[in-house]
Amino acid sequence: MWFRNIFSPKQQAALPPLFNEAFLRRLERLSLQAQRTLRGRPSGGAHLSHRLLPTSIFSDHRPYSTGDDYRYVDWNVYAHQDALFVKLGEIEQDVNIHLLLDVSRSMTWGSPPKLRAAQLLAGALGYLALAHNDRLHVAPFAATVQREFGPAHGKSRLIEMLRFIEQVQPGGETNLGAVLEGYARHHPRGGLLVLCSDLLAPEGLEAGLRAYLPPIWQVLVIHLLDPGELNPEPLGPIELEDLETGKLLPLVVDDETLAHYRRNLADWQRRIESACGKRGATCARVLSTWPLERQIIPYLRARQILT
Amino acid sequence: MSFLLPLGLLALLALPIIVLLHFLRERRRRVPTPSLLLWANLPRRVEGERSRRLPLTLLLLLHLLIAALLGVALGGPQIAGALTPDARHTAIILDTSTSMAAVDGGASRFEQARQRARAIVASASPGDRITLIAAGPRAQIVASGDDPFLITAALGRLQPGGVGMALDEALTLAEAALDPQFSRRIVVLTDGALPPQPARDVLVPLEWQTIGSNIPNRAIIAFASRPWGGRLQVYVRVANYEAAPFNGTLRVFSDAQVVAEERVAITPNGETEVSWTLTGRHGALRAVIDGNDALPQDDSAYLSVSQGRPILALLVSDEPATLRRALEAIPGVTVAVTTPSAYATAPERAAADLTIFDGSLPETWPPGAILAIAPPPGSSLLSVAPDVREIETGKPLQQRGRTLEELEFGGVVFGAVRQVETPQWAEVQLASGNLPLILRGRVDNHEIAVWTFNLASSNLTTRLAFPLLVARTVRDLAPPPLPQAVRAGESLIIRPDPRTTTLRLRGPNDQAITIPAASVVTLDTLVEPGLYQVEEQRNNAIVVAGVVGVNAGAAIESNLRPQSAPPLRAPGNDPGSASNQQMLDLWPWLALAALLVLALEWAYVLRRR
Repeated sequence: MWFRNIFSPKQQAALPPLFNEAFLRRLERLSLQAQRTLRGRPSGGAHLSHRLLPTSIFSDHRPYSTGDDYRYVDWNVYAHQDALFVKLGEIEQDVNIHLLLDVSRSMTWGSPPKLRAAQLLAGALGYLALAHNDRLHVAPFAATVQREFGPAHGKSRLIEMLRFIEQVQPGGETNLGAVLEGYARHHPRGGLLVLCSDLLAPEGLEAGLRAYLPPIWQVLVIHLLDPGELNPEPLGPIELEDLETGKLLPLVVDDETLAHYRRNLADWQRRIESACGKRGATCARVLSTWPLERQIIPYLRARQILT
Repeated sequence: MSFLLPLGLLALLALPIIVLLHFLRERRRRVPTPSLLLWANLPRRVEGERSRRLPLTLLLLLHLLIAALLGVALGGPQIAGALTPDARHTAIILDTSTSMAAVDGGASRFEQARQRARAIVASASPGDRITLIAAGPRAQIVASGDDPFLITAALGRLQPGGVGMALDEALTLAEAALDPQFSRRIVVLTDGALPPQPARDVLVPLEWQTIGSNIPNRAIIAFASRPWGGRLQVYVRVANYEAAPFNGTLRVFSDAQVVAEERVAITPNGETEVSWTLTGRHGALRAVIDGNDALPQDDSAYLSVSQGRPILALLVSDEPATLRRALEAIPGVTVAVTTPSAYATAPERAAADLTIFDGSLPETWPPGAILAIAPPPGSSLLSVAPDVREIETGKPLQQRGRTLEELEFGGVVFGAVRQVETPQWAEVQLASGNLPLILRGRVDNHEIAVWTFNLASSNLTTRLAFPLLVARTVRDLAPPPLPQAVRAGESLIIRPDPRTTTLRLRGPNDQAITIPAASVVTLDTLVEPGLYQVEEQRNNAIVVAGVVGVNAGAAIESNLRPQSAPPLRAPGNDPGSASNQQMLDLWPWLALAALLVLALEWAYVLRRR
């Protein structure tokens, strides 16, 4: 009935699908910028290794030693110098890509929720990893790491990966330090760690990042924020309710309070950047309202996280 | 600004309640945040400071505005002034009595009054209202509004007729009809032919305009007859409303034949009475005085002298002698007798106006009126006990109703009586203790009387009360006869035969009207003097026909000399309206504004969701 629509609350606009096929195809042209120091397997992948190995792509020579493949002997040098030399060159390798996705309750806040932006970003990065033959791990976490996805290799796992990301359930408190430490212990081979989180945990980021030492690990921290967190409105006398802990804080949110809040926010962001800087991690602050293709990817490109 | 209902302002108490509700709601407002991490260590306000501050939100302001508008509206606010401060509302009371038909100065008084009324209508400004009230024997509003064409058209349709002017009724109607938003006044257009009026206060200014001059008139102001030993005594009273004596001839006609004639000499402003004793049978009489005056309507008078309504009584009895004698003694009653066993085939069964069952009851009530005497037990029509009871002699009887008024039942022995349970449609008119003796009622268009006692075992038939009781019962059950005559405009009340389906009335100008029959039919439209034929019809067949005379002559109406205005006390200025106290109601506008703000609030809340 028409009058039901009049008196019923406005229908929440249906969120668009997380991933769009055409968009993912465009993402294929991108790739994650992994450091050469990362150890991978030379069997596949698109990342250059810092090691020079016998290869058909010539860049240097070394004397032949027993067991070297005859295919890489430079017979022209042998003709001139009567000594066997093997051609050396840069090889491509695959790397481990670890996507740590914060699914704590605080990520459900915002319009759209920050978790949605995180899912979108994780899906896009996961797609890049699979498309470039990297080994992908996706690990949602809150207080602990939940059921992981991966290691996955190749685009054949793409649908499975996207479905996994879509179906993550938010809940629980953030325990960043313990999660980071535990995850590093379980993955000693290292790789590229992408942490998508709002980082709303009292402590633990700096301690957690200690376990991710270069050159084994390369860490990218994507700090998700909602514009409402950056510029809250003066709401007057209210009771703030912590979404994760349920704690209440009676407060008068006026201009004076907001000034203090902004100072706290700036300090907090500085601490995060400092922690990342100390541990060699790259920190990128991303607003959850930014469109992925138009703002987030250009931003990550500018930060040389994507190439 | 004033308030019609200051008590309604108590609704403004809703304002602090709304503030309190908003305050409570605001205190409890809980806002979720992803984490209290960044809100920690902020300078905290004390609780008291928070509670002192009232959140001035748009929603609160809208709620307060709505409550204030409705609260003030409930108080009935008024402000001085009106949308049309100079607008007038005039009530014209136009005398439509017969005396206004008198020709006075070349035109009838009514025509002169109509001209004055038209002048008032023509002088009305746009926006003025006029209410036209016709005051004859009854007063009624015939037109009201600000359309002068409507009023003029209604004026054109009015005609004089009817004895008397309901002045008090007309003034009351005018006071009620006048709108206090306007400058009010009442204009009375009359020749003043009124009975003495009591002093009366009129709420609005009154303008009394007397129409007409001193013109002579003669009139027949009374005309009556009564049967007298097979003959007819006729009585006529003639009045001379003139300062000079009058000599003329008074004639009585019966069917265009002069049956009586006499020269009359009437002193100035005097009256004379003439009576004759007529022989022979007459249907209707017409008395005429050769007045040759301004009001010919009252120079004739009409009278019906028929013997009333004939009644066919069907007596169903095994021993009918006593009852038959009593019935036949009633004038106009024709008696047919049959036995209970032959009743089903009696030819008078359908035509009988009154059926008397003595010691028996039919399966269903027959058409017409019914008198049931000593009904037997076992009938579906009445619940009668099988055993009989003896009524103690000398025990006082409970007697009520006009039928039994002044009837003496002392010494009457009712003998054996069966207990009849009083039906819902009947009332007890005579009883001994809890034993009803006479019941009277009406059910399904049947007038019914029940005598529970047995005439054979009672000595009632030997008493003087018996023929009186029979006659009164028959008159009570049968429809009453038409009156001989009524005054013009007076209500003619007809109680037709219950079997009648339609009433047909034919006036002196041969105009006929047909109206559906009811138990009581009241006719207020007989204003033209003359003889009116009244026919009671059943399925287009005449059941009963009668004649009634309508007379215009009356002592009040026929005196055409100017009369002084009655003692009416009216204010010079309208105390309740116009420029001095014309008030404009504000509550509809306030209510409308509240509705608009309510819609705004609704839209605002919907937008916030």
